[in-house]
Amino acid sequence: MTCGDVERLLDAFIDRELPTPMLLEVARHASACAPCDGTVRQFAALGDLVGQVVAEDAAALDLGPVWPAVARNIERTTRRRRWAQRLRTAPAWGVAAAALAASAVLWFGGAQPPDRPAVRVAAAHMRPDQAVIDRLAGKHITVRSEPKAGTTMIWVNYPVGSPR
Amino acid sequence: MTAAGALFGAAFLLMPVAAAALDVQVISVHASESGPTDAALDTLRPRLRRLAGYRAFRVVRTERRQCAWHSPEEFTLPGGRSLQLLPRGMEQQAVLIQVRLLAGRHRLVDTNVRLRNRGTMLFGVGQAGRGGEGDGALIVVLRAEE
Repeated sequence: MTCGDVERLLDAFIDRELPTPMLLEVARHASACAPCDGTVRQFAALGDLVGQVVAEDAAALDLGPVWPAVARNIERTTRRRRWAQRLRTAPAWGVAAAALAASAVLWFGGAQPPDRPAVRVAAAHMRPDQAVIDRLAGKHITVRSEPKAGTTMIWVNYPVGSPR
Repeated sequence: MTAAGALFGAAFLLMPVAAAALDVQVISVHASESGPTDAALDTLRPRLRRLAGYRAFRVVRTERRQCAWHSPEEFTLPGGRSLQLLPRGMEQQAVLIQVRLLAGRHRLVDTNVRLRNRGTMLFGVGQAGRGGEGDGALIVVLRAEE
């Protein structure tokens, strides 16, 4: 595994899309290579920044109708933070990977259940492409979101057929 | 002037506001694992790559239309699919819109979203997202501006 390999695989590494052995190889290299470790740290910092934005959005939520679900999320987040505290003694790449994984769980939370109650986000907090899904119905759906611009994609797992 | 006349007059005066159009652009994109990407998608490509997992993107069809509020519109997509939109209003600089993605008469997605004014939202249709084989995936880019 070279620095070039890590650079090429970094996106997939951050997105947890690499097979486990390759994921470990990248992490192992980053733990022994200062420049690559720095790059991973930068991505971790970006994750923290996005985490702050998520926290700001959460502060603007109308929690009344969704409180039970929010309470469950708070419990999960607390558990994740405990893990993050434990990981502080781990090598830098390990901490970065854990932080990114936690952020990724928040960003890409998977499919929205149908008829989820409205979640209102103040316009001031919205990113250029941010979309709030008030209701979503369909089968084999996942919701993906890109943190920087807030671009949202609703993906349907369905045969595409001919594009034309 | 009678009360009915005044009411009619008021309704007439308000009509242009109620009928103000929403500028909607729907771009159908074919995503694949390899090949060139259309220059028109250069700015969107990094986001498409991260969200859809494919590397190459080609514009298959583009349609731009002025849509009236509370009036359903249907955009034809490749492969016998269509996108039905119902613009419902503006709220805090966000466009409230109902979107239905159909494959023939089969409803793949039915959603109500509030999309930031002048924002972009994506819909993807394909097998298992990243690394999909064969025909790649269809991505629908939806832009709305009041």
